[in-house]
Parts: sequence; C-alpha cells; structure tokens
Amino acid sequence: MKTISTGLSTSTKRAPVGLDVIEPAYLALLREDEGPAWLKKVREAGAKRWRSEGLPSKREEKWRYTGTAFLAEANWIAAEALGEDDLPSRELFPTYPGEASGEVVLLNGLIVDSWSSAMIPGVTITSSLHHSIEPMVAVDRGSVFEALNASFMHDVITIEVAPGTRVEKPLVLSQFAFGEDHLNEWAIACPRVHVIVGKGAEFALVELFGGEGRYVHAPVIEIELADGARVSHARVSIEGESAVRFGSARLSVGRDAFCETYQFSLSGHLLREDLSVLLTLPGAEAVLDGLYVASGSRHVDHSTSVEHLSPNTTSAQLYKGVLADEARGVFSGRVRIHRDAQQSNAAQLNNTLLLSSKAEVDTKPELEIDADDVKASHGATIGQLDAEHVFYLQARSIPRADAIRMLARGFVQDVAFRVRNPAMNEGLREIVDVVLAGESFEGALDGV
Amino acid sequence: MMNLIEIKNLHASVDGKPVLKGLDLIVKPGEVHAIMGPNGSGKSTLSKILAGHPAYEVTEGSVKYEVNLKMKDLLEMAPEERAQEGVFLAFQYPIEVPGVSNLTFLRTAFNSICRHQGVEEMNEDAFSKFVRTKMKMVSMDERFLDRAVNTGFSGGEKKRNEILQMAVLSPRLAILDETDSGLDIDALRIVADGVNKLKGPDRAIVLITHYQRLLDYIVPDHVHVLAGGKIVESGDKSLALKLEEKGYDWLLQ
Repeated sequence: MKTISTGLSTSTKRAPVGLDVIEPAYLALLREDEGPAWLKKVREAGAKRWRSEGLPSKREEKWRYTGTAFLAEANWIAAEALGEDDLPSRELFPTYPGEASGEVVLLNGLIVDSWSSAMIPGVTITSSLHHSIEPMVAVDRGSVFEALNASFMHDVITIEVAPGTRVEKPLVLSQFAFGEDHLNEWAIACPRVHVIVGKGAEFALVELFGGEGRYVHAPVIEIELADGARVSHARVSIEGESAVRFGSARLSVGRDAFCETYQFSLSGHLLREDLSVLLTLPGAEAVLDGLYVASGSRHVDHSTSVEHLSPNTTSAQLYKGVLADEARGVFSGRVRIHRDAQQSNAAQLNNTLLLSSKAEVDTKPELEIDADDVKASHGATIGQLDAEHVFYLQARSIPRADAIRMLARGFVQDVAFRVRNPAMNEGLREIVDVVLAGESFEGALDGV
Repeated sequence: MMNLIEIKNLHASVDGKPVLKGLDLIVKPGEVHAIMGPNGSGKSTLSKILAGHPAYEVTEGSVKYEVNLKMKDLLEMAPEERAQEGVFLAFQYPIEVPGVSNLTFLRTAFNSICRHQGVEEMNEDAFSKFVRTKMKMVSMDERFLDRAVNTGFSGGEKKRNEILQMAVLSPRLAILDETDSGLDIDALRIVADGVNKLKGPDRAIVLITHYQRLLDYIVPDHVHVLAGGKIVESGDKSLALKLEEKGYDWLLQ
C-alpha cells in the first residue's frame, strides 16, 4: 500500500498537521506534571513521533474514510490527573452489569482506588507510577495515536496473570475520561494497559469505556499470551455523545494459545478502533469479532490486522453493524499469512445492515497470502432488513416498529451470542441490550 | 353460536398471478378443520393471507373474524393486530432470528398480547416459570430458551418451537401450515400432542397438510380439499382416508 509518507519526492511531503494545537497542550502538561524519569522519557519518545507525523491524513490509505483534520481546529488540553478529593460522581459513567471477578477503574488513565476492588488470586495489578517500575512502552507501532497516548499518559497499568491461573469471570477494567465542558477545548485522555498472561493461564478481561464532557479518548492496550494461555477479552465503548475516540489494541498469541477478542462500539460521536493480532507460534488461534451501532451523524471505523506468522495458526473474524440515519461505518480488515504459516486458516466477514438510504458503509477486506497450503476466506455483505423476518415477528403479535428494532438489535447482538466465556456472554449481551434500549432507530421505520 | 371465521368468495393473487379463485370456508369455535390438496393448490397462500402477509393481494371476497362477539373485517387488521386478537400461524418455514433469545422473543410476543387485551403483563420470573411448563409439553430442553430464535435449530426443532410459541400465546384460531412436513414419527407425536392440548370449546384449529398421516394423531371434524384455488370437496374425517387411498385425481376431473 502506498501512502503519502512514503512518497519519494520531498516536495510532496506535507508539513505535519495539528502540531500547533498538540504542542501547547503537551508543553503545558510537562510544566504542570513533571512525573518520574521514565514517564518523561516515554512522553518525549512519543513526541518525537507525532512531531514528525502529525495527525493522520485522508491521503493515507488507512485513514481514507475517517478524517481527523477537525482535531487541528480545536484547543487541546491533557486530561487532568484527578485526586480522590476532586473526583466527579461515579454515577456519571457506565457500569458493567454482568458477573465479574473484580473491577479496576481508571479515570483519565489513573487508578481510582476508592472505585476499584480487585483481589484475584494469581493476578497482580501494578501501577508504574505508584510502584516506580519502569514500563516498556513502544511508540513506533500502530497509528500516531499510540505516540500521542505515550506523550499524554499519566501512568501505565500492568496486569500479570501467573502461569496456570484460572480466572473465569472477567476482571472489569473501566476506563473513563473526564473533560471540562469548555467550548472548543478537547481533553485528551490516554489510559495505557499492559496484560501479560502466563503459560497455561486462563483469563477474562472486559474493558469498559465511557466519559463525560468534551474529550478525545486514546486508550492503548497490549495483551501478551504465553504458550497455552486462554484469554477472553472485550472492549466495550459507551463513550459520551460528543466523544471522539482512537483506540488501539494489540495482542500477541503464543503457541497453542487461544484468544477471543470483541470490540463493541456502541456510542460516541466518532470512534476509530485499531486492532492488531499477531499469531506468533504454531497452534495459536484468535477469534476477533466486533459489533457497531450508529445513528444520527455518528461515525465508526474498525481497522483490524492479523498476522499469521507460524504454521497451523487460525483466525476468525466477524464484524456486524447497524447504521441508521446518516451514520457512517468503515471496516478495513487485513489478514496476512506469512510464508512459513502453512496449514493456517483465516476467515473474515463483515456484515452491515443499513436502516436508511443516507447511511453509508465502506468495507474493505484484504487478504495477503504468501504460503501455499492455507485456507482463507473473506467477504462482506451490506443489506437491509428482510421483509419476511419483519412479518414473522408481526405474526407473533409484535408491532411492526418494535419488530424492526428487535431485528436490528438482534442483527448485532448475534455477535455477543458467540462469546465463548459464559459469564462474559451473559454480561455483554446485557450491556448491549441496555445501551440499545435507548436506540430507537426511528428513521429506519419507513425503510423496510 | 357465532362463527369464529367466515371466508367468502376469496380471490387472491401473488405478483399479479391469481392463486385463490373463490374460496369459501366457515370455522366455528371448538372445531378442527383439515385443508388438504395437491401442491400449488393455494393452501399456503390461504394461511399467509389469514396471517396478513403483505405480498399477497386480496382482489375479491371477504374474511370476517369474531372479535368481542362482533364479526370484524380481518383483512383490514395489521398482522400484529390479528395475532393480538388470537390468530396464530405456525409457519411452514420458521424464520431464524439471530441475536434475539427465544425467551425474550416469547415474552415480548406474550406481553404484547397482554397489553392489547388490557391484561397485566407478566414479569420475567413468572413468565420464565410459565414458559418452562409449556416447554415440557413439547419436550424441549430449557437451554433452547437462551438460544437465538430458530438459529441453528434442526427442521424438527424449528417446528417444535412453533408449537411452543402456539402453546405460550394460546391463540383462538391456530393455522398450522404443513407443520407435519419433515417430521419423524416421534416429533409428529409431540407436535400433535401440543395441538391436541390447545383444543377447547372456544378455540379452533386449521391444519393445512399434504398427508393424511397427521390426521391419525389430530382428528379433524371437517376435511376440505383445496384445488385450483377453491374448495372442491368437503366431508368428515373419512374424506382424508379416501384421499389417501385414491389420491386427488378423481376430484380434479
């Protein structure tokens, strides 16, 4: 893929966009909050990258359908590190309704002790800030928002799961952003989490995102699965109405390890999720599914990348979305099967239901295969509700408008039904139900 | 006694093609009717029209249905309204509804009828107990409650699920469209058992079937032969046996 940044002629290289709003916010943060030496180092490393790249441009293939130029028009401010005495009400933020083994709450990237309680045998949760442990933070991978995350972070949270540990009910990691409601001022909140799951361990993690006020959420998580580990993971975004979000998740799956990861993008003004999965050793398997719902003028973009690096590796993806009104959806999924990854399996599917003639989706599945003995499939469908389905529900006494809503919700909820971890299956289905109960899809009712 | 449903001179077409050509049928409460006939005679069209499928156009005739002791024009009612007033169609090909659990679906349907009838809705716990007793009746495992409606069900499971819905919604007029097709003998017994339990003095059942086999288990009061878009012969249960023996040809001369 050719992007503008690889252009040969220096004269076509544009000046990085957005520095005039990012830089002042960054300098203000450094003035206010000196932080430990490691943090300064990480922040500077991040700054080096975004100073050279600036905000992504639509001329880059990966950002073709999602514009970020509007971010250069606003004033940025680092989301504040709030002490226990300055906390807003917990009620402002969403709550996970399902069974959990514990909950850790981050507000603007910092642990809120009074809102957290997680004592899980075999699981250690550490804050680099509180324990003066120098974390490893990579700033050179993924999108520039990972570098921005590094520069505007306050802490790195590390979750270590000891080898052989079994945690069936999910640990809930709630990550909330809190911005002031100043006109044209965006607080950038950058939680950073590293998860290391030891050999043969089983672990479940639900990340729940939300926020208040005007903010840009740029969370980054890295999850590493050692050999034989099994992980169930979900990122559930219930961001505020005006929220803008650039999430990054990267997973690396070891020998005979299994990971299921779910992206549920349920609300927020503009959401972009980057997910990268590396199947590093033979027998590694990943399920990466997602669901998205958008109405009004909302925008939701999922970009996934799976690298099959070893033989006998398996990946399966299903992304389903419902778009109403003038909402816009994007799915770009890249699966690469490397030369050594013989006898690998990869399947990828994106299904979108459009409930209005003004809703739009751009879907781009992409397969690159360098091995010759593999099974790979990909596809995408874009469609409307089936009149026979609507009639079936009506014939069971469900009024037409309710039937359409029920089918639209069911279309995406189908993904939650696939979650293999039983406790998470139930909890995630409930959260989708609760959030979508408020989604009326009114504009959709004439479309069928 | 008032009739439950009166179909008079019904003409209907699909995609502009006439399928029903003057069908008459009267069903009284408490009765079981069987409608038999060769393929393409209009049996399924009749069931779809009674349930209110939008793709079928009635071009002539009338269908009246008793609601609160008044004969109302059924064709004027929306499909959901018909269902709320006790019309139930067991589909020949039940639809899969991914992402909606059987329990949610049943409860939504049940409470929608309650609301319409001005009866108090049932809460989750009470409904969950109620539906479990009905599941026993159709020999369905409870785990089906948490599964998505018909999604990944076998043919027989889908048919049993239709009978479960019927048992839960307790209709006044149940129309079963080829519910027996594709069932093995055990499943057929279970389905017939469910239908027989629904029978009552104020309910009626219309069985649309191709084969006499179902009528060994559900004994009809009246048997009709539908051919070329109208009823060409009516009789008691012995007519079904005669059809089994002689086929339809003698009626089509």
